This record gives sequence, structure tokens and C-alpha cells, in this order.
Amino acid sequence: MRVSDKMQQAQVLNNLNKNRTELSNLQNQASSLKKVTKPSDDPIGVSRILQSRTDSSNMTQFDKNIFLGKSFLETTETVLSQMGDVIVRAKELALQAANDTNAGMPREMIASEVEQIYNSIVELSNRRFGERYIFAGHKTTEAPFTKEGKYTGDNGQIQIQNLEGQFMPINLVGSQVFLGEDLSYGGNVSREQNIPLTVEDLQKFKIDQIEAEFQKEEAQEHQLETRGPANVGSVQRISERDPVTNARGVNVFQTIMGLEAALRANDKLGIQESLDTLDQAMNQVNLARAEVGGRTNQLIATSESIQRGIVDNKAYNSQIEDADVFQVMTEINKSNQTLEATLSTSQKFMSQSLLDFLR
Amino acid sequence: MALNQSAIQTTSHNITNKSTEGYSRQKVDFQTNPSVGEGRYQIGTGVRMANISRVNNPWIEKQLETENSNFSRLDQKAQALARLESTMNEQSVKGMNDSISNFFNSFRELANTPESAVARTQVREAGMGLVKQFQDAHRQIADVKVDMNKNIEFAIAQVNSLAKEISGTNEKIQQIEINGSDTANDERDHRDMLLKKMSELVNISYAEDKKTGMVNVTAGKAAVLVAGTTHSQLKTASAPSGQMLILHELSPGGSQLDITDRFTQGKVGAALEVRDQTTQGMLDNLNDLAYNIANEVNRAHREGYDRQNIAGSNFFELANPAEPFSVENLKLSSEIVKDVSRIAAAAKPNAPGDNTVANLIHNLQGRRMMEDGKYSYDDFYNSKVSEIGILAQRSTSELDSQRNTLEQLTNIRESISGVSLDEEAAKLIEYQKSFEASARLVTTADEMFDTILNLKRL
Repeated sequence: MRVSDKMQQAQVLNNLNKNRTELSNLQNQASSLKKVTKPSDDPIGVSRILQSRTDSSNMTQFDKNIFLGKSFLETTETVLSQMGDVIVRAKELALQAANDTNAGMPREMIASEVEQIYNSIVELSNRRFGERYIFAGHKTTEAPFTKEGKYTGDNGQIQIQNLEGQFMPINLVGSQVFLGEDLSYGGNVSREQNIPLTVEDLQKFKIDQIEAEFQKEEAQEHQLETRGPANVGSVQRISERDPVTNARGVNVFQTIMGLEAALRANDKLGIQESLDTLDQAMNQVNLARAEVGGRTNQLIATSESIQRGIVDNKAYNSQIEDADVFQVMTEINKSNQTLEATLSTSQKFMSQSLLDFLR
Repeated sequence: MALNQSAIQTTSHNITNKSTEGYSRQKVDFQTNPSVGEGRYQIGTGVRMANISRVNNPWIEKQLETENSNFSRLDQKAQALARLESTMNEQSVKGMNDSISNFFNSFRELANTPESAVARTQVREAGMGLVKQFQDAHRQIADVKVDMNKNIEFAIAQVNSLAKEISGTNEKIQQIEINGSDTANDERDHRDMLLKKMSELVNISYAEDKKTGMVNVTAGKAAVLVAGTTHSQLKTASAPSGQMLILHELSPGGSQLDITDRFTQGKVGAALEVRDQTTQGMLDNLNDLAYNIANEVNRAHREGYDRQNIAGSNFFELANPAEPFSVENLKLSSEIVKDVSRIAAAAKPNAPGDNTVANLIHNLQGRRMMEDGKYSYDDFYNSKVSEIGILAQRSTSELDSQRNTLEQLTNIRESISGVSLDEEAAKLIEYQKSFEASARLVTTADEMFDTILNLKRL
């Protein structure tokens, strides 16, 4: 084969270029420790990397959501446990007072302690988490219970996303826990299952809510007071049985208020009656606590799986994205040697000419 | 002796042009002189020069020209795609993907604490960030388009000057080869090189007129650029849509014909392809994505109520309502920019803790909203990044294989037509020796003559 000078020169240049390109790529990998530095390095991998980055950042967000939800629920739990203690104390007092031969404390005095208990129930039911009233439904900026134990919040449940497409309500609605309204089967607080996630759902949801509101108002309008003014609190001490869930809720405020009224009126029968409702109130608060505990546990479990997910995701990402340092270093060495070999052979190859020998 | 000198001259010509681009080595073709008959014998009368010809394989040259045109197309394409790719590269910097996540996560934060002004401000910032990211990406991609237009303009100007030069070379060749022989070696080399350069820029076809040795060049199968010694010009003009058009001027100052779509090869072909297909496609996709997100977020947002208990309005709006939707025309609602309490998170009034609408909005991220419910926003965008990655990867590997082909061909060409110093040196010695021998012959003849003249003296 005829080898011309230009051919030789081009060949040397090409070889050098090839070596240098390879070396520069490897160098790039070594300095960034990434084997994918642009989409064309691994087009499919890049898409996966981006997806898992999104997943990762979403999971971190979900974890933040869960943390908030957990704190919220923990505050609720604390309040409910205090509430339980207070009701227990009320029951103790009622027991004492129900006995005619009580240990010398006049019912009048017991009544004033029960009044204090009532005040602390109002205070507890208006507790806040940060700036938000925890039992107010969606009306979190205003105290949900008046001094008379009237509920001014709504029945909104604050849904927190804890996984893709999965939500958890983090608040208990005050009217359910303390007034015993709209309880679900078994007397427990309800959990809203219907979370509108499309605009169409939301429109339907809004209509449904307005309808429900209307029905509730109508029902309240038709409810008749069954007792005279002497027994103030007892009127709705026990609300009507819910025809669907067969649950019976207790109005905690009115129970305490009724106890106080009975004490002051020296109404032994009334006091004994309230013992029963206090038990029910206790039960209601405990059930709510159980619900809170259940939700918290669920959140903790999700959080743990999210933490694992984040780590798994990192590992997965690293597999696609990160360069194997040992491999890169080995290859750099190899390329370096090749380059040196190319350079030294080129030097010999190019400097030789017939002209050198024609002397 | 004169002949040997010519040969040495040619050798020196070869050596000096060793590095000239497109040069084919030349060689002197020797031929014996017609012999003189002397009775029964034929006596040779020496040598004469038949021709100085270039060593050149036209078929390889033609092939080289095609492959070169291909190579420069792929080269340009790979470069342009690498730029496009870099606009979507999120390996080292934060980009679109990140902004989208941020945007939806800010709504998650808002859902956590819908009462909080901090979360609302975060939503506003993320919203503005998203819009800015869309606009940045749009601008970067559009920049590539502008670049392509500039490339086209520049290449066409080059084509024009090449056309002029080719027609000039045509004329020279015609003058030199007036007697019909094929002797204009250097000019032909030069013209071959010009054609090669032209084919790097646009797709051309050309044919040589066997009688005059001139070539006619047609670009894009439509525009006759060189016809013998005359040449015409290509013009570029910006279309109202911002595309650079290529026009052919039929006569100087005469009517012009749009032949943009005739160019499929060379640098111009690649620039057109990237500009009109890849880049445009990317811009359209970006527009689709922005429109969909803005539209869906707006629809949800309008259903909500803000902190002032006013029914929600649009979250995103058009900067100039008179114009249709485009990424450049997108902005965050000025109401919201002014006052974050206008962000609607609740589904009913008087419910500051209601996060139903915020939940609905961030839930959009996981839903398949693009292309009639086929892809989620992330899927859609990520797949587009993959797509451009695949395009860039393929064009790079195509370029590599084309480079190999071209190298091979160039090697073959140089093997045939290139100058080898060793060979020239050997030839030089050969001719030198011949020259010396011829000179020796003269000396001998002279001595013989002397002998004859001195016969008497002896």
C-alpha cells in the first residue's frame, strides 16, 4: 500500500484525537463522579433519574407533612388525655355527691369545683396547635367553643397527603368529640373518606356539603325540647340515636353543666343520672383518643416506609448516575498508557524520511 | 535533459504542495519518440513528454464528496442537538423537573398550613419560579433556533462566494484546456475542492461538460448556481414567523423563488432539520406542558375560596390577554403577586383551615393530565428529556461512524493522490541520475567530436 505523508499525518492526528477524547470523557467522569452528565449519556436512565428525583423530593415533602400531622395529632392526644382526667375527676365528685352521706362536703362546694371543671373543659376544647384551633374543623382561626359550650367551628377535616394519592385527616372535629354529633358507627369520630381530587369531584362535593348542611339545619329545627327550664343542661345531654349508625353521642359540656345544675339544685336523681352520662362521655373521649392513636401509628408506619423509600431511591439513582470510581481510574490509566504509546510511536513514525538517509 | 528538468520541476511542485488541501500529486508521463528507420533497424530517438497528469481517482473523489457532505450534515446536527440537550440537562443544575416538583410541593406545604402567610408566600415564589423556568427554557431553545438561522445565513453567503469562484475556475479550465486535452491539473484540483466545500454546506449535484471541461452546479435540485462561466446567487430572508428562508434569484435583481425545503444535506440541511423539526417540536412540547399545568391549576383554583373569602380567580394569567397562550405570555396572577391571601386553598368560604383545593392542586402532579390522560406532567417532561437525549446520542454515534467512513475514504484518496516525500525523493534521485547520465552523454558526444576533430593531428 502506498502511504503518503498526509495520510500518515492524518492518521496520527486521528489517533491522538481519539485517545484524547476518551481521556477527557473519563476525566470528566472522575471529576464529577457521575457517569451520566448529560441526557445523551444514558437517555433512558436520565428519565429514571429525573423521576426518582421527583419521587425523592415528594417523599421528603410527604415526610414533612407526616411530621406536621403527627405533631398535630399528638397535641390532640394530649388535650384528650387531659380531658379524660378532668372527666374522671368530675365522675369522682359526682360519686361523692350522689351519696347522701358524703364526706361532709356540701354539694354546693362540689358544684363550684364542677364549675371549674367546666371551665377547664371549655379551655381544653379551645386548645391550639401553633396558631390553629385544633377542634375547630376548618375554621381554625377562631375559638370553636363559646363559654356556653356552643360550637362555632365546622365539620371540616384537614386532610394531609402522606403518600401519593393517600390522605389522612389530622384533626378531630370538636362537635363530634365533645358534642357527640354526627358520630360514626360505634360512637367513634368519623373519618371523611371522600376527598375530592378532581375539579368535577370538587363541584359535586361542594353540592353534597351544602345539601348535608341544609338537612342538618332542618333536623335541628324540628327537634323539640323535652324538658323544662329547671333542668337546663339535661335537655340534650344525650342526643338522639343516629338512625343509620345507631350511635349515641354525649354532649360533654352539657353533661358537666347538668351535673353542676343538679348539684346546686340538690337533685340527687339528677346527679345519679349524670354518672351514667359521664361514663359515656369518658367512653366517647377515650374512643376519640384511640382514633388519634390509630392515625398516629398509621402515620408513623408510613413515615418509616417513606424513609426506607428515600434511601432505596438514592441507591437506585446512584446505580444509574454515579461512576464506579475504581473502574474509571483503571480506565484512565489504560487510556493514559495508550496515549503515551501513540505519542511515542508517532514521534518515531513521523520524523523518519528517506531524505534523512540520502547524504 | 530538458525533459528530466521538467520531471524534476514536477517533483518539486509535488513536494511543495504536499500540504495543499485537495492537491493531487502529478506525474510526468514519458513517451518514446517515434523511431527513425535505418534500413532494417529502427533507431530510437529518445523520449518526449506525453503529458503531466494528476493521479486521481474521480470515483473516489465523488464518493468522498458525498460522504463529506453527509459528515458535515451530521456534524452540524450533533452540535445543534448537543446545544438543545444542554438546555434540558438537569444533571448538574436545577431545571424544569425541579421547578415542577417545587411548585407542587409548595401547594403541599400550603395544604399543611393553609392559614399561614409563609406557606402562601412559598406558593407564590414557587409559582413565579415555575413561570420563569418555563420562560428560560423557552428562550434557550428559541436561541438555538436563532443560531440555526444565523448558520444558514452564513452558509448561504459562503455558497454564493464558492459559486462565484467555481465559475471563475471553470473559465480558467476552459482556457487552459482549449486544445481538448485534460491538462489543467491544479485548476481541476482547486475546483474539486471548491465543490467539496460547497457540498459540505448544501446538497448539490454537478456534471462536467465533456467538451469544455466546465461543470454546472445545481443546488437543492432546484437552483442552478453555476452554468459554465456564469453564476447566480442564493438569498436569505426572514419570514414573518422568524424562520430564515432561502431564496433563489433567477436573474440578478429578478424574481426570487423560495426553495428552503429543497435543502436536506450539508450544514444547511442539518440546520433546517434541527430548526424546523427538533427545536420546533421542543418548543411545542414546552408550550403544551405550560398550557396544561396553567389550565388545570386555574380550573381548580377558580373553584376555591381565598383567605378573604372571595371565590378564587385564575392562578396563572396571560401577560397580554389580547394574545393567544404562549410560554412568553404566561405570568402569575397580578392579584396574587400583590397579595398572597388571594391564593385559594379552601373549598368553602369562612374556612381558613380548609385545604381541599390545595390538596386538589398538588394532586395534579400524580395524575395523568397530558395527551388525553396518557402521561403525568413529570412523565411527559422526563420522556421529552429522554427523547432529546436519544436524538443526541444517535446523532453522535452516527457522526462517529460517518467519521470512520470518511477517514477510510480519505486514507484511500491520500493513498492514491497524496504526495509521499519518500517517493518524491526517490524520483528526484532517479531524475537526477537520468539528468547526469544525459549530461554525461553530451560530454561523451563532445569528447567523441573532439576525437574526430583531432584525427588529423595524430
